[in-house]
Amino acid sequence: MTTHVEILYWDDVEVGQELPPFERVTDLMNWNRWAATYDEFVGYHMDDEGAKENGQPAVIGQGRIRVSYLHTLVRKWIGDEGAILTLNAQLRGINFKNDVLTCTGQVTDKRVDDEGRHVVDLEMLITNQNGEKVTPGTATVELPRRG
Amino acid sequence: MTTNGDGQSLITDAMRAWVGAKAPPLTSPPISESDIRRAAISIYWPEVPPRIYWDAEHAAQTRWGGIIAPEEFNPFAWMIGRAHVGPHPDHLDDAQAALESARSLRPPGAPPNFLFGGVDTVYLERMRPGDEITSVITVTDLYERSGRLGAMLFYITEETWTKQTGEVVKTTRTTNIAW
Repeated sequence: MTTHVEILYWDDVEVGQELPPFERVTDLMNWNRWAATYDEFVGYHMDDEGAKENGQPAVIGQGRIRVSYLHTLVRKWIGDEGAILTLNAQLRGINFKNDVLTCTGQVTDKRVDDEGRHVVDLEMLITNQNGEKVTPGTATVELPRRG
Repeated sequence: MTTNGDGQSLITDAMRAWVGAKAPPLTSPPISESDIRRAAISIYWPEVPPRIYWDAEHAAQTRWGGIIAPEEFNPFAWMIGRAHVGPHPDHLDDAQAALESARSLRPPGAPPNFLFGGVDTVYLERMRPGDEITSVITVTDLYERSGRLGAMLFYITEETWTKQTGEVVKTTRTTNIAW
């Protein structure tokens, strides 16, 4: 069976272009699935009691799930033929249960790097339902050329 | 320099000497296609993950030539003998506890609470089914700041993941916060 391969070409990208945004509700359906595959079962991610023992008012989300969301934002845009070369994420603020996180990003540069790769630089942000900027980040991706 | 509120720095000589400390290397079990598929589903939930993570025929047509793992995949999940150093570490036996403690590279005398501050990663090779990954971590910096939570100790670690072939998968600079 042949399947269709979605390709984003470097040639078609413009500086200032926005990545398609997406939302995640950080409820137990998300947290538990992620914890189950990443094997991250720490008291303060499990329940309010564990969180209070770590000085938090209520159960808090895994920081690395937000890092995963930034990777997802990039991969959903670059498709199967793009490659993430670098990714930076800064965790700010706390992610509480049932927060609605919105992931956004835009193209800040388009260039040929020192190794001759055709790359695009991105700026990204996760914002919660209160408008708090909880995870800024940057990434550089390599994309194929047309022709 | 920030202080703990009493005019005293959080950072001791023992903590300064901690810069350069290395954790014992840890090697993962071989990565399986199912490990990758499950991780991809958990990352993308409630959406369907990209086929390069679960459809071998599709992945073979791409630049990757076969299934790859998401960049942030954790091959060290669910290792025998692995447990977490959380608020209740007393269930660990001594050898496990020593390894977990050593792998955390928590500075001696650090405040008891922990927050993950972020990562800065360079990706080189993709992880694939069959790969066994070895992690080496080093403490490279340590400093303190005052924040919402009071005096906080930041310790920076640099981690390198290498395949069984010697190819480097990624290098990650992680910001760890004790408060």
